[in-house]
Amino acid sequence: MSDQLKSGDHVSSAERRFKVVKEIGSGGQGNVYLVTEEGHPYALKWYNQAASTPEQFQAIEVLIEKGAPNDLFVWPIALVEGLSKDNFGYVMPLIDSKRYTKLSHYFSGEVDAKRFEPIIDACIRMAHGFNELHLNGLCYRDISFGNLFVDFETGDVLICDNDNVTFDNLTEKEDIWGTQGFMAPEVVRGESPPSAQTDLFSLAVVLFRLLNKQHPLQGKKEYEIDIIDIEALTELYGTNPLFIYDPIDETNRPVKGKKDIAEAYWPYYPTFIKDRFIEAFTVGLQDPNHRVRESIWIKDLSKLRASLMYCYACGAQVYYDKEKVAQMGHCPKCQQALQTLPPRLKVGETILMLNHDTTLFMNQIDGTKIMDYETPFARVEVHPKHPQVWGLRNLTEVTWQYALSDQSIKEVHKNGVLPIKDQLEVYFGTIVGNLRTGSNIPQK
Amino acid sequence: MTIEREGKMGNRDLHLFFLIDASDSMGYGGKVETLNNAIREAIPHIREIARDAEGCIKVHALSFSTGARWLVKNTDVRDFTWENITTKGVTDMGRGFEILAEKLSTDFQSERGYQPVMILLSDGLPTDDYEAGLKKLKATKWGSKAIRISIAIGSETDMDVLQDFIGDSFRGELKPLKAKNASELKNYIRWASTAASTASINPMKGMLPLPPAVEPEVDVEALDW
Repeated sequence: MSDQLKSGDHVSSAERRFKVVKEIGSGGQGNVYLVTEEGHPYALKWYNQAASTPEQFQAIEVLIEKGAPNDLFVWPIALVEGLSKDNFGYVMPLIDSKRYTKLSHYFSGEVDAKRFEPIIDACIRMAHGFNELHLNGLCYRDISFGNLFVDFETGDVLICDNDNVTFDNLTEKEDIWGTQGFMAPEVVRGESPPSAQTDLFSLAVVLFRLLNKQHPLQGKKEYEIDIIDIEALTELYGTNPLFIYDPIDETNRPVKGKKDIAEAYWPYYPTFIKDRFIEAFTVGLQDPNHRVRESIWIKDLSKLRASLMYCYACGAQVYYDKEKVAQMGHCPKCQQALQTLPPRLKVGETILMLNHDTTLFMNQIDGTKIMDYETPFARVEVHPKHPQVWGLRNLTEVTWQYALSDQSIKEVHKNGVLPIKDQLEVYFGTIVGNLRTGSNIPQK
Repeated sequence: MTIEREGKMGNRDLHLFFLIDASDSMGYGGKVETLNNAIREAIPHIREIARDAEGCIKVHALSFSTGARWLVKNTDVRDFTWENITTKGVTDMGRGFEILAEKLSTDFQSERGYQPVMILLSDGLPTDDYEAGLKKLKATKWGSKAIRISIAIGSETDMDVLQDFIGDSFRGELKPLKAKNASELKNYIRWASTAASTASINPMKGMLPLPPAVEPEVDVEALDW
């Protein structure tokens, strides 16, 4: 057996036997093959001899025994060998490449995202996946665009290459590695091996890039490097990293007309999410103990999802910003001033947009249920005969209550519809919400 | 409607240079045919790396025999096809380095990029003053920062020349590769163009993986050189 397998070769574990169909990828540690077992397709990662170490073998064994943290992870299912003991590999589920796009391919422009919801949902799911991994005492070590797959229609996520995963207890210098642009500064500087804390930095980079396209540390400083080598990268990401939107130091801003894609996104996000990214790439850049944790991302991203509204002039998706409601500015697509707001629901300090097609989820209403981002809470519906009448369908088991002008109490049971009326106070069980429909934004 | 908006990504490209010996001796024993074939086989693998990279991989190729000439200039690997090269004349390797140095000090003045990758393929001894040409190449900014790899085709090659070309590229960790048969040559060309490209895009200390081991196999292409 050699580093390269041929079509028709077999590899097997103690109980299972797989037939090699063809090579579907390659990397530094070996190649990936399409294999089948009784006609059922799987993926096989086959290590080259240099990577076929006893330590790697044992690491995969442990992962298989431990099992996947949740179903986002494309986890090893069988350790396999060929005829000789020189090489081995592991079998894992095959990713449906018609549905899922590797993030590196998304960033080379292979697919366009049509809406923001799938992007935000993908961000939430990634944060949740890595949160579960970390709660299991593991760390991923190499969160980067090569390992993350997204369905840009649904926001579903798959996390691949899980032979990167290890117990979160690395101490050796030789464990220091990763992907440039995703490694935390202390890893780039060679001071610390990857850990759950450094994963949090890499995750913040992925989230920032999904929402803003540009790399958070690649502004003027990166643009001015002609040939980028390891010394230049160490400076850029390790010894002197500077956020492109650092609130104090403006020397690394995007370069107008040359490297400025973030300028088309960043200024249009609500203040609360910008503040969170500023935290991630200022304090979080320097101090591994002050990185933004996954649950905070999930909370903020869920709020961001509820801030989505439309530009009524061109139909583009834009964000509502409570902090800037008196000066909403213009649409980034058509440049027209934003003048019309959809109905809103205020719960506590949060204002949720009620667009004609909005679905609200449990964690957007109930702040104590952060991880409940997939349980639908309510859906906006436009009356089929009276398009000016909108309602909120109750998708929960809890009966909602509101008072009519004569002080009588009306109830909205499961699947019932609450009419959206200005100033209406609604009791979603114990949670109180207030509806607003005044639609025009005061112009400055 | 998409969420895409106007702006510049400002990505950098990876420039990949093939420097190919097209002297008479390459015409014997199927060497040049294997080389043509091996480069073609490497293309889809280079494309895969380009898909994963931000920015493009741009391919350049020159051949040297009596004199030197450009075969391919600045071609996106997605559009890159390989025309068979033909062999004739002596081994003016130094001239090859010179025309590369000239290009790097003119066309590349205001270019941004990853560390360029340069792959030298030769089966023999230079017949001109290769050292003068190499000096010019290494004196250019892009030449000095390049990851330089060399592959000897067959056993007649002057390995010192190939080692000179590599120089201190990749911190002096690299040795010339010696392809003794067709499968090794294919393997090395694929490795050099892909592993070195990956190492350029994502440089790590001491992370250039070794060329893969191949099972020695007897096949019709495995000619004895």
